[in-house]
Amino acid sequence: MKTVVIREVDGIDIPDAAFVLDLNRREIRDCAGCWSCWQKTPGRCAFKDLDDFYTAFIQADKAVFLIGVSCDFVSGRLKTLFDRLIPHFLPYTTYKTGESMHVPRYDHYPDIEVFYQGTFSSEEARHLYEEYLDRVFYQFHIQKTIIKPVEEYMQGGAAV
Amino acid sequence: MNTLIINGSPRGQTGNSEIFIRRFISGAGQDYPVRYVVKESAEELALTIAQADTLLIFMPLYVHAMPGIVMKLFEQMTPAKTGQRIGFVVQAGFVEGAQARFLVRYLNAFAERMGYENLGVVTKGDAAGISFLPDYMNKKLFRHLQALGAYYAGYGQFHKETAALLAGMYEIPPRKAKVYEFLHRTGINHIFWHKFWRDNGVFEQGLDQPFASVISD
Repeated sequence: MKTVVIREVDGIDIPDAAFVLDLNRREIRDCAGCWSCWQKTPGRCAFKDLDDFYTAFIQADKAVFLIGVSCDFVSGRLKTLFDRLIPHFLPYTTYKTGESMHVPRYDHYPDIEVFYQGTFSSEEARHLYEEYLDRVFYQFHIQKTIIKPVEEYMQGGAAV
Repeated sequence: MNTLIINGSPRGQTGNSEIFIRRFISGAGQDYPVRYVVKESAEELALTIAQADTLLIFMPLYVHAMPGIVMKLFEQMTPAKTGQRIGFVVQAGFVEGAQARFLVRYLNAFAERMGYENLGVVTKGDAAGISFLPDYMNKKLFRHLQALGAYYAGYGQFHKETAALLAGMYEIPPRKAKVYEFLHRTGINHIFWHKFWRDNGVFEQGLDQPFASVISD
């Protein structure tokens, strides 16, 4: 079982992580919206700063996101990471589910576990945060997604 | 009462958001200043924003939400001053408005939490190809954007009926989705992409999996 960790919250260890992307210590370039990953170098971003992460992510069985809450949403840097996952999907659109979806580029994507730490201004804001994350991973063709507050990970809730 | 337009596109002056802004401004007949999130530090732009009476933020939809650079700007913004107003215009690639539902909810909540008077969120789907299409194919869109700008200049609000015309369909009717899926299956709507690949000399690489494991399972 290969696990990749995307970390924005310190102090929680994922013992068996094969690769850790630490968003607190590594600056990621923002998506330039250039479409190179679709038009010019299919599957590859024009920026090379995430190539090691891309390899680990695509080849992982599981990706664990230990993330924060920023202004009632995902942080700007995590949003940038989401924007930069687009190379892993084809520009083609499928309507099989009755709505527009990107077609997968790869045969397999890791399962996702999200554990978030932070406070919200309202319960509605928490719902939106969780529903948004759930939708992102649905759009990214993730077979199995878990989204929970980090306290539940501490209590051993990570067992999938 | 001054209006500041913010272009939230990572593509800055070369993207579709810029086309929206230019049509809006031409309809308004006012020379609203435009600032670009991609060109400035979020901290500095947030200071400029704090001075405006009304902010109009134009942005593309990226992965069901605002682009990362726009969220980085939001993180630097301070609560609104008394009477400060905000409005949003979101343009998206996918055809149905529902794709932007999370962002619309977020932007309305953000405006309220920050204490702005909220003009609302105007959405437009099916906008990915605008910069490639000849102007005559964008005629209706441009007319609506100009009408939106003209009404804003006159009344300081987004015109609801025009916003509804821009929004188009919220969800794809099931029968239509079946037709679209058929076109996808036959590959007819891939022609656009194949042309890019051919022009860029990567026709054979379009479906590549560059980060897949070299050992196949």
